[in-house]
Amino acid sequence: MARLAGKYGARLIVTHGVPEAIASIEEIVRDGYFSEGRPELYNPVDNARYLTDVQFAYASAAQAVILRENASANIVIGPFWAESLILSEAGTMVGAFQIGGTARDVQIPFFVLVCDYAFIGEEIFAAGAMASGDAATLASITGQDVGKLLSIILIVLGLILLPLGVRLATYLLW
Amino acid sequence: MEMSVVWRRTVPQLLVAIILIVMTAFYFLYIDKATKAAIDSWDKLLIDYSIVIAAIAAIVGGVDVARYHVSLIMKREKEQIPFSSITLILEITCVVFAFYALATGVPILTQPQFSWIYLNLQVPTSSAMYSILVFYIASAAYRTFRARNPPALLLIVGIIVMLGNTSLGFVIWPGFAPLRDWIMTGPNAAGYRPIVIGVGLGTIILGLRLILRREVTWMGRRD
Repeated sequence: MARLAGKYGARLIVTHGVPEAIASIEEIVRDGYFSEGRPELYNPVDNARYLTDVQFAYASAAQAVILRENASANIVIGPFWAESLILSEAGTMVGAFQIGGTARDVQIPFFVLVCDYAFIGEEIFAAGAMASGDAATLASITGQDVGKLLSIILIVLGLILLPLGVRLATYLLW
Repeated sequence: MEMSVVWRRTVPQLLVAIILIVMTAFYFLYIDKATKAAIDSWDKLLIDYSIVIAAIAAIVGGVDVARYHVSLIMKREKEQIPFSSITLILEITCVVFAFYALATGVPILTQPQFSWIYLNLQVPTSSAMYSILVFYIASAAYRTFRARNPPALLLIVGIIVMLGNTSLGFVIWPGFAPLRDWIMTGPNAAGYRPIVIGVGLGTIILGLRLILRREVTWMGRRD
């Protein structure tokens, strides 16, 4: 995202609530602008904003950023709880293009309903690998798919064997 | 390889990989009591380190917040000045409480002034933000449940589940509650479980990428 913002000369605002991550987030955003040859666009005070680590105070502050800055795109990806809908509805209010994603199953429906594009579950992990463009990293997604295929085979096999009195799950536990 | 690259990339990657391997081994493998006791002391030490780092990071966070709001006041943004001023005043107040706690030995959480601010400012505002969710859920549900083509299956299922959750639904037709239970335990569970399995597999693969040092996005630079 930081690289894309640098490439197109867009203003990127990253809000976060983890004080331990301040340095790394500033570094990632800085790197995005610098590597695309636009260091003049980087301003650590404006581009990477630590708001607070309190859940609803963060939701309130991030919502304010979206509304006051009149964000044109709102990308909300991560482990969110109740604030997921607050953040994405703020994006809807300003008519922002929205991408949402989380691995927390109870929050996925909110992103699916409100966002233009939603990453469902493991797609957020795959997105990171896709963005890297590294062949070995991309191969790990294939490994993930093989795991899914194996799970499907085991589920179907379990369903077939269950009426015959065989509980496949007991053989898988050792 | 340059020394700076070793410190910036290789050392953090190795630290993450080692901690992941140790945590995985502890979770899945049997460890005898003597080894566990020895490693527990290291585990406690790491937790203590993380507490110290978090405490210092909180100071950095406070400085970051102050820096941002001071910059807004300096820019003389009229609409923002009242909010930024309140934030700064409250932040300074909390710092004063912290110094008072250091000077007197009275923990900050037991100071009546701090408790007053917490109970009368933070708790009500957090509750207000949480309650706003009701309206957001209503507006999102309205947009989603509008009858559209193809036939609004979401609308029908949503109405059944909502009526199944309310006493009004029971008055209209007692069958709403059992139907809601079937939807939640049948199709809903069937929809969720593949997602949970996928997340589990995704987390394992992410862990493998971290152990094998193929995941570098969390460090920013790729060089």
